[in-house]
Amino acid sequence: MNRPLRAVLSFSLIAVLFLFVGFGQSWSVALAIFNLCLISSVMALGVNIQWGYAGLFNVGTMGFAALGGVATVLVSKAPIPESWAAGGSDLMIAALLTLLTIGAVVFAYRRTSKGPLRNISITVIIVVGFAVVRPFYDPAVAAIESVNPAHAGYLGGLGLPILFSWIVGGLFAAGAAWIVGKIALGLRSDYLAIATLGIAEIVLAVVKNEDWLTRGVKNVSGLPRPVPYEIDLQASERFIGWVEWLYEGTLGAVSGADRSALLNDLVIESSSIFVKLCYSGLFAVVLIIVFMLSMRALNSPWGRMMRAIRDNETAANAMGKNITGRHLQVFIIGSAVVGVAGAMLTTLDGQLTPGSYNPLRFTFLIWVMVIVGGSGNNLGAVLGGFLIWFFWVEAEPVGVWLIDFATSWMDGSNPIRLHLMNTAQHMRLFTMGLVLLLVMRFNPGGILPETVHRATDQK
Amino acid sequence: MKKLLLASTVLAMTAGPALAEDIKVGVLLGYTGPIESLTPDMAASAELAFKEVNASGLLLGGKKIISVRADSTCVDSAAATTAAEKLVTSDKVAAIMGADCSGVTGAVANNVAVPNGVVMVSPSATSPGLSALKDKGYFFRTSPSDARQGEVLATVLQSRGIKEVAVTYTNNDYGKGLSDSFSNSFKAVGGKISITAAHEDGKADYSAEVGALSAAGSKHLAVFGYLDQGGKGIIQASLDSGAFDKFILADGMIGESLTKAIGKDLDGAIGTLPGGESKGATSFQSMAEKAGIKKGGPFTAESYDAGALIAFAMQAAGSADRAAIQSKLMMVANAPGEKIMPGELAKGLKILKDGGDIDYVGATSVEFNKIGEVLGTYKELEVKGGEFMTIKVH
Repeated sequence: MNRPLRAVLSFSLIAVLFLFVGFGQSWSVALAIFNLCLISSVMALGVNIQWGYAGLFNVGTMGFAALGGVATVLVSKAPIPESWAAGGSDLMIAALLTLLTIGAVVFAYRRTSKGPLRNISITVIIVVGFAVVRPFYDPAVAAIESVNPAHAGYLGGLGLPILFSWIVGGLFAAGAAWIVGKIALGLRSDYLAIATLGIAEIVLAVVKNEDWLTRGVKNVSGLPRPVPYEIDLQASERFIGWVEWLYEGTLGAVSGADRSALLNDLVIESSSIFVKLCYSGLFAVVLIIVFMLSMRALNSPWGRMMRAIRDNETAANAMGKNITGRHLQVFIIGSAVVGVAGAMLTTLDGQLTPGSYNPLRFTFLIWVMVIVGGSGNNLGAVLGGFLIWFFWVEAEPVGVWLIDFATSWMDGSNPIRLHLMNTAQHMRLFTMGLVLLLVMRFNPGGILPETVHRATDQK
Repeated sequence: MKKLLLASTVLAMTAGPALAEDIKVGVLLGYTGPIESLTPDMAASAELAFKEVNASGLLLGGKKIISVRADSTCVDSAAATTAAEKLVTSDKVAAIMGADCSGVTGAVANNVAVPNGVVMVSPSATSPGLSALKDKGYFFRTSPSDARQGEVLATVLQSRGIKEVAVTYTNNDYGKGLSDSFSNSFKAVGGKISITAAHEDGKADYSAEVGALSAAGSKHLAVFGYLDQGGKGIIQASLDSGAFDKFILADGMIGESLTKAIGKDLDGAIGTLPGGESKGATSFQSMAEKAGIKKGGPFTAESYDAGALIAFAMQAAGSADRAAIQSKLMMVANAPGEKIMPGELAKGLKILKDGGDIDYVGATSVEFNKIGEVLGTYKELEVKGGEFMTIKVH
């Protein structure tokens, strides 16, 4: 089967799946799944940039997604004046002193040459800096965290529209990737994997424990939304007017109390669908932008250089390519995309719950998307994002239904049937493994494998 | 258990050709994920209440409640909201019993239940943060907020003359919230906290954490964690190194598996657990045992009460309409009215049918405050001879 046809067929299959959910369950469910598919696709594109283009094995996706989540809180929540009054000034002094310490370290590094003098002076600066910062930092943190700890206990954010946080989330992740990359990219592939795995856990430990920043494990809920609230829509005359106009035929068939009850149901249903469509629009715009940029990058000379480095580092190095520099670049770009997706996800959830970041969901699942979709192929990553998220969510209801159907001939008290019914929810993980195995067996390069343009293909 | 499961699953799974008379209620719990060992019994307890209601044949002129289970995963907000979305818009449930863990409960309430006007009664979300939810009166919980347990525990320690403790908590919203509320209450009654330190679950060795805790010099150690997880590890490491032998435990640490694992060394440990020794609690326990539900399992009584309350609210409203359920839930749970115990659901339905008023007491002495949360009663426990014994009820 030729490649474009295969892509068209795969995406048509996804469209059919969504139609099934839309008609079989409800359009609200279909849209809820669709929105998360869009976010998953963006995240998968980020991983694909690192793994597919450059062969960097980053298993710290979770950490970068969590940084995106942190950004939403810091950008969108209103600042809490009591907390700032309690510990703001001390914290600022601590921040300033930290920056001074870092500046001094850089200065000492530049002014000394390699040897014991450099090691000793840098160690002394760090130890002194730490000792100077703590007397300001500790009381500041204690003061901030004691301000109404059940509902506040942190500094709040900047009170800006939450959409900004998608960009800021990308920048946070990029910044973290720069630091990580500087330290770890010299490591060979498998060592890099271990390093990123550990760093993701470090990021998460900071997010969980620095309560003054984002309330830690106490969660921040009620993040502002970029789209209207359903309950506001339900109270809005104009929205009700729209619904009346849209369902004129249905409403015309009934009258009196029945009509107002039906209208009420329709308004609730429409408000929920309307809000989801608004989110779909926003997420789709991000996905399209990231996708277009990825395609341009992949097909540019830069993209060819990246693939050359990936396929043969030694040869590329001999051609005068700066391997570490390019790796750092692609690591930062890919992580930034994951950060944006992480911020989008937290925006959709409406809350930051650091306890819910686990590697299975935020690293392993994204990797499955890229591998099943086709690593090195942007369209494949998008396809993987849609397909895997769809299975991840729908495996449970479909699994329950299937097991019920398959065992319906058994007696109701048959222990085999009871056991199967009780464990039906675990079909989710089973399905993931099955999909991965089947794709790896029959399509080792993924459903849409990488397309390599050779010189002869080009005009 | 088998019969119950049979009834519930058969009813739930053959939901397709369900009769028009039937009313669906969602049971949204984490059947997969960190608390997957607790949820089957919780779901079975809620379904036990539905079964009792169905058997009476009194609900809205003989309608039946069908339970529709959906997986909240306990941790993945995205999957939980999609599952809830399916319950609300596809299965068209009248109300939701759930969700379980505090994080996903907040996400489901904000994104699905409140926007669609569906009542949620959570049996196990205990995070104090949920009190501030803008829920328009649609969110209820039958387990008290952790803030309350902290107060009770502080009073218990004060009455026993314990003046100074070290505190360790599992690093999540449960542990942290409980530790904060306990520390504040304990200080308010004149106690002293020598050190507060978090521990992460799932580690092989906790001797470093225990070392730091014992260095602060207290004789007592308060452990706010999980009995199958880090909490047990902390206790084991404390006993091994001789750092502590007097423990104070919160609800997440109370269970047979802990006394079995530690043995006699745990004697003298004190703790608190939601629930009472009331008539309701005992009669629920015997009913649950008959139905094959583990005795004293966490949140089973709360689940039963959540299920019963939903049924009563329907009966009081005279319809299974979502908004109508919300308008009556508070009324059937609170005084005044005839007191209803577990196993007496038919009696309650009858009274409501005849236009009377009930005050559902249930297995956990339910009484909602004005934001739909129970204050709850707590048992004070002490380990004697390798077993948890109830000392008194607060």
